[in-house]
Amino acid sequence: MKPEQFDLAIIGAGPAGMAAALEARRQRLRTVVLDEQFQPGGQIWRNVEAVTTRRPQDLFLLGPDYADGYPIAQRFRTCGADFRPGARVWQIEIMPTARQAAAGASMAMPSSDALDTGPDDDPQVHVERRRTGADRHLCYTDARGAHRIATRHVLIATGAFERPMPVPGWTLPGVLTCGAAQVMLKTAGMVPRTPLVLAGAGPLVLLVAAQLLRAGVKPAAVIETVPAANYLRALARIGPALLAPGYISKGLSMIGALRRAGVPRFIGALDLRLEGAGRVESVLFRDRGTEHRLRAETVLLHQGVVPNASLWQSLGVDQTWDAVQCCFRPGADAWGNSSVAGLLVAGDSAGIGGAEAALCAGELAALSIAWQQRRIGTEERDRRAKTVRRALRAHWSARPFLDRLYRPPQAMRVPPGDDTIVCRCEEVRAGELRELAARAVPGPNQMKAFSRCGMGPCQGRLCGLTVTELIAQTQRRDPGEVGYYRVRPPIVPVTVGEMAALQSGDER
Amino acid sequence: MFRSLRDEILLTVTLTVDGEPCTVPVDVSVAVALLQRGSIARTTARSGSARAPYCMMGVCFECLVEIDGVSNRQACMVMAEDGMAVRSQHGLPAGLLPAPAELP
Repeated sequence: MKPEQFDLAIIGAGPAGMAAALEARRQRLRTVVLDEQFQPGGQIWRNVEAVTTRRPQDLFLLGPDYADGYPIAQRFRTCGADFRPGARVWQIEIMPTARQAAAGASMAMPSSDALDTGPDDDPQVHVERRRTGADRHLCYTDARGAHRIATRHVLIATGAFERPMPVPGWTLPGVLTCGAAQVMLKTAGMVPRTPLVLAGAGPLVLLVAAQLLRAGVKPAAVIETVPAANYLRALARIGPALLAPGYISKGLSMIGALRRAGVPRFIGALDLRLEGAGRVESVLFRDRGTEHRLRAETVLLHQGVVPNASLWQSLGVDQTWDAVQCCFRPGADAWGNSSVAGLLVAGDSAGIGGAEAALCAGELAALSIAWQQRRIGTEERDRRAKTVRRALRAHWSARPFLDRLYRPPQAMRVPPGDDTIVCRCEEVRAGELRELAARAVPGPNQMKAFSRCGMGPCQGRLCGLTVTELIAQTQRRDPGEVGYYRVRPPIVPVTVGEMAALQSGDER
Repeated sequence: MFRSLRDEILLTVTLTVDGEPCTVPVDVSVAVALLQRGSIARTTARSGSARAPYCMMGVCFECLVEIDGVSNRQACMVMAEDGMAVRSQHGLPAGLLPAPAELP
């Protein structure tokens, strides 16, 4: 049976995916959007339609940035894109016909400046404007089973997830991420039981604390693990951030809310660890030389977000290490075109920029795809892109400040204690990994083979970056050169039965 | 670990977790039921330590449970339904290989 055909398949219905779909439909591309959640919005606007229509009183708790998602989700619903919720993409296949067509194209990365002025004049550009067949196949699973669809272009807009925070005791029940608490608030109208402690670094720590305060939940403490040196490095970059729309004022107002509510806030905490028998009971840390121990029923951890890279990594897209954001980014041009022909990456999955920047990036990617498929001319594409890029630059201007302020210190990225669990799934500890790294294990894949680190059900999502940096630190190498796990499909679990049904043509 | 902001919720579903009934709002994941009860999802196959939902967005795989007889389902990615039978998972299923010995 021939799979369904599309011009564009977008994976992820968050800000980047929805913005791309809106633009793609404006250009009449046959567009399908797959998201593993059941409503559009991504994590930032998770469940925004239901909250707005069914429990609007909670919009006050979540704040105006959350409410902003509703009109975008509404426009997305009616834009004519084929939205498939509850769909988990586990493999993208590039069919042999596509590989042959791409073989002649140069894989050299054009500079983004060159692309700004128009790729048509740039001989180095690897994005060709030609008739492509629907020779990229997506395999996904939903409640009814596995399906395969075919598409000319693929846009990966899978967003971000929270950076691993390997501190002693982070596997204890009752310890969740700040993002998890937000999901509880957004989807279920539920709040953590007290005593509650938030710990880590990043805008989300402050945002969740402020949201919970508005919900009547007062945290026992907010423990920030931002080193003093970060403030100095960030201050040097504060100029452009002050001009960026709202970022700094929002942060200050959240800090103000915590102060007015009398929530103790510790800045520059060290040696964070969690203890308890079978579940978390206390939070321990050192603040300016004094040891603290706080009782806690629930602990929320967070130290920034990192790209959800599994899909583009599984396709072997070129990647580079971002030393400020401490994560891998896909090599991509200013439109999001990756080193794999016909594959684009937009939004936080391509490097953390936040929701507003992701909206811009999604639109740019769709403009490039519409241009490549000859739906719009070069002039129209560049004229439209100019306005979008101006907005994108404004949102990016806050990043140098935020990234430096909230860059987790090395001790929070690579646990100094040998007993700290790095791989939650296989319970592999930092000491064992360091010992292997000292014995010149060449990289994360060999480390996995020796230790089972990264071999559990999460497929390395919660230990991958830690392992890369641990090897880099022990062997005094650059994390970019150490590299990451080889990510292979299926990138989410799929049963043998589902795969077999797909092969026999028993499809949607 | 979590409680509802409101006393009265109009639309609910009732499932069982380890045989005990648990009522949650409609359109929430099974993991919400676990967090509302304060119960764990599973114990690990390696050390037997307890794990509960951690990320709530399908990334960490800590909330693996058995749902209606199918094991290793991510509780945070499955919507709760009336009559659903959820069971916590404990180590390796009986009859399979024992957990690997602790490394020295």
